[in-house]
Amino acid sequence: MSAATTSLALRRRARIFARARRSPWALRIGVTIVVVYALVAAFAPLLAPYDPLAQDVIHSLAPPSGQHLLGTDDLGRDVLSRLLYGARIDLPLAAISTGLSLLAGTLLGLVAAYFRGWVDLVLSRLIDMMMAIPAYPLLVLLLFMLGQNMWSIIIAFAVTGWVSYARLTRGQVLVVREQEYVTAAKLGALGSLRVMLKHILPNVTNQVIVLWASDMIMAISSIAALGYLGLGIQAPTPEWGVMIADGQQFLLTNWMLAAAPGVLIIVLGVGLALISDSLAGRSGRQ
Amino acid sequence: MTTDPLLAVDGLTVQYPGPDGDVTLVDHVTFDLAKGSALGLVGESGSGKTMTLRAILGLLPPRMSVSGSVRLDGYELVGRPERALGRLRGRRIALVPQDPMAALNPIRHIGSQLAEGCRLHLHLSKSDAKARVLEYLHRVGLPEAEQVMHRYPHQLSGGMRQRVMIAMALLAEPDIVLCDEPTTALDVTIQAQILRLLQSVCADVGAALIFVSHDLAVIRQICQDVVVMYAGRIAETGPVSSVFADPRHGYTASLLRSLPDVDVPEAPRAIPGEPPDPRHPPSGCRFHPRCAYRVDACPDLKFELAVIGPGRRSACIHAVTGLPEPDEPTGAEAFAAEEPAGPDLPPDPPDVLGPLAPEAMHR
Amino acid sequence: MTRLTFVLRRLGQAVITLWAVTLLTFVMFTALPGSVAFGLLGVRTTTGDISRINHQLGLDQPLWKQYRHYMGDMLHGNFGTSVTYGRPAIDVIITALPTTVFLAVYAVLLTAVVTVVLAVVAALRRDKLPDHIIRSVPVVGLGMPAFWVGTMLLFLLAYKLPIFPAGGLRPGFGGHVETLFLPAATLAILYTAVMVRSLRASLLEVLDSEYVLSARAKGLVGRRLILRHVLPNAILPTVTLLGLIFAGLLGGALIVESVFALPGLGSLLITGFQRHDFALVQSVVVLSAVAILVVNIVIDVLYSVLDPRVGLK
Repeated sequence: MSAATTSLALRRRARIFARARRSPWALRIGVTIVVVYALVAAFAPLLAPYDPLAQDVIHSLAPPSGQHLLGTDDLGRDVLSRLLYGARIDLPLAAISTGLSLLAGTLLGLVAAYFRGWVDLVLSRLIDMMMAIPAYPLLVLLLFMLGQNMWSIIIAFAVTGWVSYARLTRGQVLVVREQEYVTAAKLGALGSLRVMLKHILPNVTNQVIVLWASDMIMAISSIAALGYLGLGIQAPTPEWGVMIADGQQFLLTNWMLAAAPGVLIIVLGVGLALISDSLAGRSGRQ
Repeated sequence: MTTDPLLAVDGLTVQYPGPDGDVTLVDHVTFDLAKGSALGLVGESGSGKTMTLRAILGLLPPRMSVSGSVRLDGYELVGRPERALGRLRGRRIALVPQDPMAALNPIRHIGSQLAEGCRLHLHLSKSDAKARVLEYLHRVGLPEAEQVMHRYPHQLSGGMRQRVMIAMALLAEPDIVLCDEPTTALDVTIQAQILRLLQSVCADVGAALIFVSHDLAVIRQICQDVVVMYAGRIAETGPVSSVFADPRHGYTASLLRSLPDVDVPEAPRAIPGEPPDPRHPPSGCRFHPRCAYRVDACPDLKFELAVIGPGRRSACIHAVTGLPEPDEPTGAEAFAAEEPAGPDLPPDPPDVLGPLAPEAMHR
Repeated sequence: MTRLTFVLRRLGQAVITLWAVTLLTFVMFTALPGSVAFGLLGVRTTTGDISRINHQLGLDQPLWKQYRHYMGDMLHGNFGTSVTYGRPAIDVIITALPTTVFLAVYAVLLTAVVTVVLAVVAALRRDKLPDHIIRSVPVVGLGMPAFWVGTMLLFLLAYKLPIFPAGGLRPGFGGHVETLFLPAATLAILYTAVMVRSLRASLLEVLDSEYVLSARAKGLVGRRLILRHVLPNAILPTVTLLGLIFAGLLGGALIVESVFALPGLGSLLITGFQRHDFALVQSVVVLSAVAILVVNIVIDVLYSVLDPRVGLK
């Protein structure tokens, strides 16, 4: 009996990647992209030819050359180095804040769906309320309160982000719960909490990962947006959004200053989207 | 036959590309339909009967390829462009599908869905179309036709929906009505009513009928001729009375024996095993693994329909000589003949008990 | 349940939610004692200045009293005075509202048209080249930051090829249509990327359905089939999504307004943030919440009208 249900859980886990088998190349390309970005973020100090903050005003706004592969910005800083260091800002920020949202959200959703009763009621009302508040104004309000630094961004994103995970987890758990309840009743439930955790998690994991990948895309986009608007990370820190804002004035002469960071964001987005799509079974023949 | 048949199906074949080559779902099906007559198409699920109907109308998904010939009054239908077929569908050949709930657009009310057909083909004005719709709703036995017109599909009962489908098929007064198991989705008590209705309305309009079913008793009741299909191929054809009284194919006989019959003292015997996977059909005669009349030559038999009488043909090795005494294959052989299904991705839902069953039987 | 009952019940829930939102903003406001003073006087304030201003604005009263004033004011439509503009926050918001609404409608219309066209083409040419191209749009489009798209559009269509004006808003209907095109297009590009995928899937599902088969068996082909049987059935979830997008845009499209220098609610939010103008920020938040709640109710009712199978719960 428990052997049957355990093997079921294992088969389900295999199923998560079974969908990816439909289009293996999508998953591989996506993971490769993300890994490359992570490596760049980790080893930027070794890879970057210059200090991203080092100014050299004499050589400002220089076009790409042997010395500066992507040219320099308006304060003479090497664009390539700033781009590489930018990965150290956006990527970890997005990862940590979405990670926190994921943990908090799935935990809350799990608890609410398992215990039901007033816990579930309160959580559902809370979710409704959070969904009624427009995301950006709330985010801005929170940053307003917490100040403009990396930690406040993480907290603000976590506070606004946990809702989708909670809703997803709660929904999934409710479904599985109904069926497990029947099974457990028939088989004489043994430590029903343990049994449920064994079955719920594999089931939910797939969708949560898919959600997380999309969430990461949104988070990176938002962090960059906040940087662009001057509401988040601020200059002179080499954040991609900030770089785009700085580069906007020079569109006619050095359009690369504004374009390059955007391309980096998009490529990372593509990688995450490929991961998300292949896990959700959306790539390949349909 | 002295007159040309209304519908002449010749060598109709439907295939789709599979991982190991083309899979044949309908294999050189050939039959004729005379004006005003009723033809039954019999077979188990997977025999290709529904596919045949769809192929006649040209309603198969684009992945599937159709070859052979289907001639309506001499006019070839296979390979026609969609626009040309659209002029014929509903007007000359109509379809009464299996599941009336699924076949009706859930967000439009009945009246508009019915009127659509006659406005399209008969170019009627709105009020004329409405009058016609009402007339036909009455004809199919729906007294409060006015109210029904304004209702949505989910607000009607199963029997009412099927009556609506029959009205919809006959509105444009087609020459042929294709019925795909029209009573399967209904209660037993309603089935008889719907069948009688179908018969009478088709007779009134003078339409020929192709009636697909797995239920021999119904076929016997309604049709003059029958085509028995198995695994995409024709097993035998002929007038209903002679085919049922003197079957000349192992499958037909097995089907007949599986029917409960008041006059016969023995209990009905179900056919052992299951229909084959179209991707890996048995060699020779496709029914031989399950056949009680099998002989050694059956697995090597080349498929050919032998003429054994006026309008009668059979593909069986015993076609001309008649069937011998039945000799049941043992259970193991019948099951062993099933080829294991190809590796498919299992479906997704969080189904706790479901996957256990096929896993247990998987070889 | 009748429509009226449904609407009333939802309005009741909305009021509660709204109250929670105002409570939330109040709590957050009281968590920052000194910033209003900073906003008014700049960085070089003394403790004396801060306490003087706090007294002036009634910020040194006990919390519950403040809350009473706060709620009382709000119920009278007084959202406080904007320190930036020196006028009641409500007035400032109302001036900015038309721009935001126009942009929201414009963007939703563009999105709807492009999404429908792309999704129909993709669904009808399933698994062929146009389909593959269209299906790769969401993959790239989801990751595109709005401000980057806006900037690039500005670059290409306003600077390099001076087709459109480079930001700002011109009065009048024609002026709005012209100056708001690029911002609306920016939003449309991003939202289309999200919606094409779901509409395409929905169309494919409908195209495979029994009732479309039955409609074809009746003789319906081509455009008539699509317009009368396929699109109406497939578009329902898309309509809901569009409604949600519209609701969100009513809260002010922050980024796009900033890139194109538009005087809408979004830029008010940013200004309010930068100047520590709490009344402004709070008003925008509350107004957006109201818009979202109302639009959600409208969407639910609309859905039940469009799909007769759906009952109101």
